[in-house]
Amino acid sequence: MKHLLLRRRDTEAVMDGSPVAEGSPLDGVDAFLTGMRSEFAAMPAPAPRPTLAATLDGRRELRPASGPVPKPTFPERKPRVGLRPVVAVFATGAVLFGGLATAGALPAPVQRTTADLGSHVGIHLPGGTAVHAGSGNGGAPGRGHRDPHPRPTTGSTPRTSAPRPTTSPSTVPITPRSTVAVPPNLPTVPTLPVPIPRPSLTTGVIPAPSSPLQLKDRLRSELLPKQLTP
Amino acid sequence: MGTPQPRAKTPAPLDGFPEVLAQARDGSPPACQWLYESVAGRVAGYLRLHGAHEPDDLTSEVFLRVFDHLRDFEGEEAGFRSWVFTIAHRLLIDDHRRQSRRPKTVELSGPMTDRVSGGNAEADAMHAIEQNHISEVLADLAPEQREVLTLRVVGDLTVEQVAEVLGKSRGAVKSLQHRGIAALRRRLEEATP
Repeated sequence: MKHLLLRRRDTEAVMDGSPVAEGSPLDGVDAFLTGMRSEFAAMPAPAPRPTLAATLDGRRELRPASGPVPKPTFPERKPRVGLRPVVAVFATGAVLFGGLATAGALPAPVQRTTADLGSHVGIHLPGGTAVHAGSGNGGAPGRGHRDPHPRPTTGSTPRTSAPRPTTSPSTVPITPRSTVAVPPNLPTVPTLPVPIPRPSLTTGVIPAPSSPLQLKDRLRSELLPKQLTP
Repeated sequence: MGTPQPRAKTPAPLDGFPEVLAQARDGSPPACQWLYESVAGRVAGYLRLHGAHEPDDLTSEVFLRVFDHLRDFEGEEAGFRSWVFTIAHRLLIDDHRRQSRRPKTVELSGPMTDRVSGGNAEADAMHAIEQNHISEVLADLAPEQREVLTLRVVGDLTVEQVAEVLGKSRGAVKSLQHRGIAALRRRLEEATP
């Protein structure tokens, strides 16, 4: 059968239960919906279950009304217009002061104070007074101190090309390089040359000093007379 | 299709609907009874058409909710029917969810024959056959189309009320209704030899 296009008006009429014309394409649908109304819309009310029956008989009281839902109240918003000029003036002043301080264009005492204060928090500005002596970088701003106690490097750090000790690590304690504090340029103190222990002619074994006192005695007895000799 | 013979009539209101509603809120048994009998048959038919597990139990559950919240309801008779069907629609969804989790059981008797009670066995059998036929035809429609058609025909709701029950726009409901009717016509034409 050829399917004719349905008009929405006809659909509405069928749904409302209006009679359709004889031979209408919705004739069968109309009969079906009429049957549906008679079979399902006109069913007798089923017998109520005990709880509902008690409600219908008035033996069970209805739940009291929950009442109107209170609207949530919010505190009135205060106008913020009064704070805006203050914030704007403060922000403008901060930007201006920062720019002048970075350029070193503040008056000298203010610039010095600002630079000193900034250096404490890691901001290096020109015109500061505190330059660490002996830092080795000429006191340039921005390259301040060296940490006297740097953290030990992790495994990802590339190793230096220092030769590894040939002795067993269990016998000679090795101080990690990273934990050795590098002092700043200290005044040099004349030191005595450290004697190189020579192997004994008989045994071929290098006599190792057993204690610092023994080393000191050996230095006195062996080296000092030689140096004093013209 | 046979000639439709309505088997249950909506009872006449005692007074106007607002008075009945006010009396029911005060716990008057006749008013509560009238409210129940005016819509319960349609609700049971709607639930049965949508395959509710126990339509009569679910109808009682719907009306327990209705009476529990009756003092919060404000509106006319049409609004009351729309409100009742909104509750029925939500409980039906819950029932379908419960059914999907529950192991399915097969009834030994016919699907509809045991649900129709009456004194006339022949008439009851005819009703059962008719109801089975309607259920089978509607089962071929898309769920949303079936929902709109049943709410409009069985629930006797307007397009606006159906839109409110289903939470859809008026245009969407009209479109679903139009497509549902077209699908229904195709289905009926295919069944006709």
